[in-house]
Amino acid sequence: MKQKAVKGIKKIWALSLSAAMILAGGIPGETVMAEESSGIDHSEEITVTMMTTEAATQQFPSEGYIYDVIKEKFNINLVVDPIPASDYETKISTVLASGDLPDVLGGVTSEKIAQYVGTGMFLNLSDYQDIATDYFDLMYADDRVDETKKVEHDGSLYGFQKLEYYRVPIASMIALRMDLLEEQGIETPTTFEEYYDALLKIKEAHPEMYGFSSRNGTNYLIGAFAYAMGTGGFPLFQTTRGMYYEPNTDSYIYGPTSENFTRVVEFLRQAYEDGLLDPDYASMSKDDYFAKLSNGTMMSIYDNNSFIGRVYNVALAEIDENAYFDVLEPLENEDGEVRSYRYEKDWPNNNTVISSRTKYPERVVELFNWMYSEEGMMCTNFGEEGTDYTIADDGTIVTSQELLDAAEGASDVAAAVRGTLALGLQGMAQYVDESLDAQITNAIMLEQGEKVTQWTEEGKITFYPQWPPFTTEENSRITEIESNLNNLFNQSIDGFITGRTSMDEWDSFVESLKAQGSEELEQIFNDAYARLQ
Amino acid sequence: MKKKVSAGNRAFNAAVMAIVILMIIAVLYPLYYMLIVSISDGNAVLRGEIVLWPKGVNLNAYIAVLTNQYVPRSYLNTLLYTVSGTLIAVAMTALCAYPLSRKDFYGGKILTGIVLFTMFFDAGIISNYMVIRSIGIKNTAWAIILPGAINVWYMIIMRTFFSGIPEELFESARLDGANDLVVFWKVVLPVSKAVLATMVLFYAVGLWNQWLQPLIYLDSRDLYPMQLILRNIVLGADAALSKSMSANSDMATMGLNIKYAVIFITMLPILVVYPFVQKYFVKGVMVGSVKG
Repeated sequence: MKQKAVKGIKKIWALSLSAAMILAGGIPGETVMAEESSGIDHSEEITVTMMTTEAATQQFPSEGYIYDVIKEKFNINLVVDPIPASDYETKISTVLASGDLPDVLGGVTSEKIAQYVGTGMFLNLSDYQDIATDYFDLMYADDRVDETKKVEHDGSLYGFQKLEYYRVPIASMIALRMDLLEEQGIETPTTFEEYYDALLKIKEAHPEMYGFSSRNGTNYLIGAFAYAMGTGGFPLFQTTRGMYYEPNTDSYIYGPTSENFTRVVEFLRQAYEDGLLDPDYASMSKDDYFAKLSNGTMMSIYDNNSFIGRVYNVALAEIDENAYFDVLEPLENEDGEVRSYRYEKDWPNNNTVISSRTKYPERVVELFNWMYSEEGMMCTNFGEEGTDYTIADDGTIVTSQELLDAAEGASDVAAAVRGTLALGLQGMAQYVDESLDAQITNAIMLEQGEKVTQWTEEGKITFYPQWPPFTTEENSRITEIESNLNNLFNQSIDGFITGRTSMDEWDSFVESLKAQGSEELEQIFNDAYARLQ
Repeated sequence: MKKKVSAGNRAFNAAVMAIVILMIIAVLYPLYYMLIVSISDGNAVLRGEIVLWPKGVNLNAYIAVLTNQYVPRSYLNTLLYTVSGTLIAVAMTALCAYPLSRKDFYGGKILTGIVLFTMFFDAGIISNYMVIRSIGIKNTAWAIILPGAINVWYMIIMRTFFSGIPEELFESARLDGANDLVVFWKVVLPVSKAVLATMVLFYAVGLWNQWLQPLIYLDSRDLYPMQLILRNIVLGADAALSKSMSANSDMATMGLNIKYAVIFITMLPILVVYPFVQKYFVKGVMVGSVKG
């Protein structure tokens, strides 16, 4: 009897264990297919779920004026789940791979769209072109059509891309300690040669100072200088992509194997030898980099101009009131050319996609198209007219003092203002107007912004072009080749810069890169580009 | 009589002492450095002036972290997940480890093999996500507590510990009429405090620090644990800075100040608890690691 009871208990143990293991093991999921309905009829109150990214600096409220307008205008309860931006990539990958999409998914990169478009999980927006007229008109306008073609898939669009109505321009530019130029009586440099000479002269007077460095390793530094010096690679700090678009030949080129690339290498090599390039450039952390620019040990920087007015100059002024950085006009290279990149127009890597399983495709498309209309743009960027903003006689949009006062003391005032109402790029806006930045940012930023605009109009700065769209096979081959190339390049490049490796070995290094598939890589990029023509 | 210490011994002792002091400094200085940076003036930090003493002492970074509207809620969530998750995990691990430690357990070897299999082969994040979704616990607190309730490695430690309990204890309990549950409750658990305390610490630290499972399984911000919110504050500040036009210089330094303030805030509870369970911790791991 007792033995029987013991056996019974043992069976219960075994069953409990099995249950625990099933819990930890795997039960295949079920897929629920959504019904489809048609016709834009607002009489039925519907709920639309949306998952999107929430920036660290700007909160994304899930209720407020915008949601009220959407409810009133479209009879839609928009339920937004904001996911922390720092880990959004992981979250979105899981959601996409498992096919467990909400009705709307925000913050999707063009690469992700390309990767998953074949699965049919995204709604083809081109099928709803007659509803999304505002969006399609903008995307196929003359100033955007070339870039739009790069995000098409079989001639169709699958994402509502965040578009730019206005933003204060930012570019990657050289900035120099202008007080030191004045101190040494040096003219503002206009060529790379003059720039280098100016750094050398300052170094003679201040031997403890360095000319420049990098906050993210060697390729970051190369990426900053290469295009402006007449070659390319690692554009706009994409430290793992040696490819770039060369406008002179209208083709894509692997920078390190191009003829002019030695200019950059020799420039950096000479700078290292002359003590202008910080010896820690390859491993310097962002914090050390910021420290050297803020405590007066660095003369120059090639980076986003947005840091200068807000960060370095403020910290420098506390220890030397005369010290300040300012941007230089893009410098002339050896070919007599002046060229530089600014960040791409719009936000091609920030798309909102709609699940093909949504029950109300027309109504969701209509809602997001509205955000590109004048009314939707104003609502999602500035809130309620009369309460949150007013329009001055000259047409300037003025954010209410009440909102600004509430954000006083925040480290990013504009983000704090927008965060209270889910406004702007990091909020609900699809057609982004950042003129609030112009209202509250400091004078030097606006001044630099105007310079960037002027130099863009003069053709000295150009918008960074997107990569052409690749097929899945091409993408996997690109990953493979780039991995091999990066291994070889990263192992060797510092040897050339620091002088450990003779420049006589450069040609054989280039041959080694070619042997790793650089020419095939160029072919893939140019074939993809040719398909767009 | 006082024993005379030779010069060689004294030199040796001094060398040992010097090495120990260096090791203590190597461990404590980073903690101290984080503390002084987290309470120093942002621009002084930016200029790299903080080495031994804080400059321009302020609590802005701590205020920034603690006044984030999501932090209090997420802190409570983390406490809830840690306390309830640890209780459930220790209970389930003990319930799994005990039968597997008994030589007379029917099918014990096969079950041990199956359990061990899951230690080496994981179905992966997507499969786990689909399981969680299928059983209807996605976007609930259970998705955080249940999937990690039995950590196989910890279970093995516990099983080994249970195996070391003298057989005579079980025999005498059975002679007194105790069944398996009574033996487990009244004999095994009372003599296993060391390993239980170790498990509590292991699981509590794991649950306190976890961010991947909450990120994957939770959609609603109201359910987020602190780590998700704080990680976003720490990592997001840098990324946002470079392209934001209206951020002021505080934001550049906030990254570092906040990073260290966050590390302190997250470390504090564990630092406070650890000294009290440390003796069990060392004992538990040692005993659990040696079968006998």
